[in-house]
Amino acid sequence: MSAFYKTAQITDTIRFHEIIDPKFKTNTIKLQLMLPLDPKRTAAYALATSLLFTSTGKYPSIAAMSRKMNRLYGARASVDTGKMGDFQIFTMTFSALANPYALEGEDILGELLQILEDCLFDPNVENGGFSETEYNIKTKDLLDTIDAEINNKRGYAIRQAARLAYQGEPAFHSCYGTREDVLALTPQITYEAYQELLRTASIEIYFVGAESQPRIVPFLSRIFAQVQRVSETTPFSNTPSPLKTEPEIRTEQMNVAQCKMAMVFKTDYTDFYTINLMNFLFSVTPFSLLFTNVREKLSLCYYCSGSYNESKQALFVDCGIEKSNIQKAKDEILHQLEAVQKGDFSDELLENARISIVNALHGIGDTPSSYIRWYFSELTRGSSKTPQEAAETYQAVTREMIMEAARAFRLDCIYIMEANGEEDAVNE
Amino acid sequence: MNKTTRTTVTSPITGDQYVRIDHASGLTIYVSEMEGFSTTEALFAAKYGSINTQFKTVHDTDYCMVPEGIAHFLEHKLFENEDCDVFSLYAKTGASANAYTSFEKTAYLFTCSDNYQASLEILLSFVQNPYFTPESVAKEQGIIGQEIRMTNDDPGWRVFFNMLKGLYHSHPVKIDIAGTEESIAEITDDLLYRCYHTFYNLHNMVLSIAGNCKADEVLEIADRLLKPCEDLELEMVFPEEPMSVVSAETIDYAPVGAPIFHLGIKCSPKSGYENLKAEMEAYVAMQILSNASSPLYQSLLEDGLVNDTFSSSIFNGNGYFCIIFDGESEDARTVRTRICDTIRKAQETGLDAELFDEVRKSAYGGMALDMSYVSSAANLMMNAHLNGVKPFDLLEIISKMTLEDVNNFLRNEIDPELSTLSVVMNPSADTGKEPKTNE
Repeated sequence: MSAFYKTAQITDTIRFHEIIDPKFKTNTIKLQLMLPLDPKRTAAYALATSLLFTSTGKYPSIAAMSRKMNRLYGARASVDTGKMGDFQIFTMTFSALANPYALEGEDILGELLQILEDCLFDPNVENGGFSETEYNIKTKDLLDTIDAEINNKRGYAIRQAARLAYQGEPAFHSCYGTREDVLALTPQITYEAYQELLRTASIEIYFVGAESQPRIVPFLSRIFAQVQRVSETTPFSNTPSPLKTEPEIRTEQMNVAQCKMAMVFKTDYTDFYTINLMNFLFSVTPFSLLFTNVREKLSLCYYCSGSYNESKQALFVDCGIEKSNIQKAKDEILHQLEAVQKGDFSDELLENARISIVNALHGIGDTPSSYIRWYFSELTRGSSKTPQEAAETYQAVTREMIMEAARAFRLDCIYIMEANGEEDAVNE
Repeated sequence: MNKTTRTTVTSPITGDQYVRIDHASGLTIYVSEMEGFSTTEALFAAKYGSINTQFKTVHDTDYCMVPEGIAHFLEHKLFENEDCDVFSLYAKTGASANAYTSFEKTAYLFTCSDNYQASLEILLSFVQNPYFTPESVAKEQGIIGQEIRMTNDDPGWRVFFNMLKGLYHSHPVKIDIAGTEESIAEITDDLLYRCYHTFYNLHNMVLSIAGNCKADEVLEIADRLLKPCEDLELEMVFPEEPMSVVSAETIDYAPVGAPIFHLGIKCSPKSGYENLKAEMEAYVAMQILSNASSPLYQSLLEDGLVNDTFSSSIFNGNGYFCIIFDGESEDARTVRTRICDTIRKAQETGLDAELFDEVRKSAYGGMALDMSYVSSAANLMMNAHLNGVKPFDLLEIISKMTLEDVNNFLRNEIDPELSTLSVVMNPSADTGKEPKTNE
């Protein structure tokens, strides 16, 4: 049997995607909950979803929940909070060894589905709110997560650049909220947020396993019948970030050895596949123009690479650099973008970038998460291409299309973390 | 010249298979043909890492000492051929290539879904053809200097190495993998060639390849490209390491959110199968005592002493073995006391039998999947070979492990007195700004 993908509607606003591939030894169920990012609610939703996964009515502590997962051969139930453009996204993952590999014939999948139901519909509740003990633990976790943003200097610099780029837009805000937002919550307010989230979020559910499991659709229909869902949810959509009239530069002083620079370019060009191929030859691969020129030829930095935020139509280029080389690196990055705009790149570079993307596309499906990432990203861009169809689209992208895409990018802002001095952070 | 031999090995527990080829050139090759997978991952690795700073071969009379960070430097330089950059060769095949250096190994790898044979030819060719010049060494000193500065800004890296410096008096595991800006300034093209010809000998290397590949095709390429090597009978030497810690505590300062800590407990090092067995016993013991299902974890969370970043791990290799607890805490000293008290109590009473069964089952669930994904299969085979064990030994050890084995390890091998606490906190969280070490 070869792999296949099909979808089914659970309710008008909940869709089920089944991906069957006989080579897998695990069953994975992933729920993607999406709703417009509302800075007044982000902290409450983030805290509420984290509380669903560490204890339930049946397993009322982190220890009890963890022991249950150990008994299921190290099964996993977890949630990640994230942001995609102007949407807050919760990725809930349940995965476990498939039944044929159980040592004692257990129905691991059945137990996993029961845990999914317990996490979503039997939270650990007391006095109309989440259990206070668990609430206090998860509140501290969330506050520490917010505080720890500064620990990873590269990630911090990129997030600061995003704040500078997205001022006045929902994407400006953190997906976790602020300390103040978290401290203003109570177990009761958070519990209400949980109920609201289940009512209003768009929900896409993915299953990846070796065999089709006919019990899953009726199971999902039954458990979601418990919720009075709103008749219409807000579907995910891209919200391009407006370009500033003049590029803005923000410098923050910090007690670090190496400076960081993150440049943000925005575009009104919308063909994702052309932009992605352009970016592969400009900044993504180790043979890209930025790697070969900024790092290898000029030895200006250890890393210099880019990533494209499709939902905001913004390209981030970042590097770690000596203070004395900041201007030189900035000039060279702009120079290399100009080279792409003018078509000053070889046919070989273009073909190599294309081969690199197509090679990666052919590898989709070797892990459950790669399947889900692919189909979810296609869904959010309003497309339903298979990896093979996407490969064909990349084959059709021409040099002229690449140049046109590159010409549509304009510098919006630059964030610089400078070694030592006074602080001038981009605060929420 | 030896003959090439080939053996197929099947796990009696999971049914997973791999082919081991002892190649006439001196190289050991592992191949896992994985039906239904599109990607291939290949790792060509030398048993050579940052701790190998003192060595000799059958041709040397004295041990050679080399600058700290040279294994990592060599890894960077090998990516440059006489006429081109290796990335530009891989660009033609579409493979995603990389390399890394750890404490005990240097690995060159690629992943791809098309043209794996062409990529394998590139891998075997460039790793066997070094090209270093004084000019290219000087250029790389600038790039690696930036990398060192970048890792110095990583508080997680600093808290880890401060812990190692607190545990180890003289073992080179305490040295940063990339060395220092001063030590890499001593590296020359001649030294790189010397290290290359010593450690990149096929008898000291392994090729591991998994996924959409065929052992016959791999062997054909190996026959064509591998250059037979003389076994240099490489000997490594490490300074004598006393079973005591250097310092009880180290505090360092950096811009961080909550203070981060590493608590290290020094244990006796082992080698080969005994090392792997001890590692698994230590892992299971620490999971029982401190993972999310343990009373210790729950109480530390409820008392606000740690958050969900708290975890334990085992860090072991040639001449070193320690247990690490790490996380974020405003009061790492109290966390340390609680952990050490919990260990002492468990040494007296023994570990909970029910928790042992659960943790062992969970570990089995994870290890049974080791050969189920391309990357994990390729890495499992490479690591097993470099650690002197067989790829399925891990699963065999966990299957046979008893509560008594784990209690014996806990009682005989772990001494909370041999511990050091490393903390990195924000300068504003304390009065001093210079690193402090309490003897």
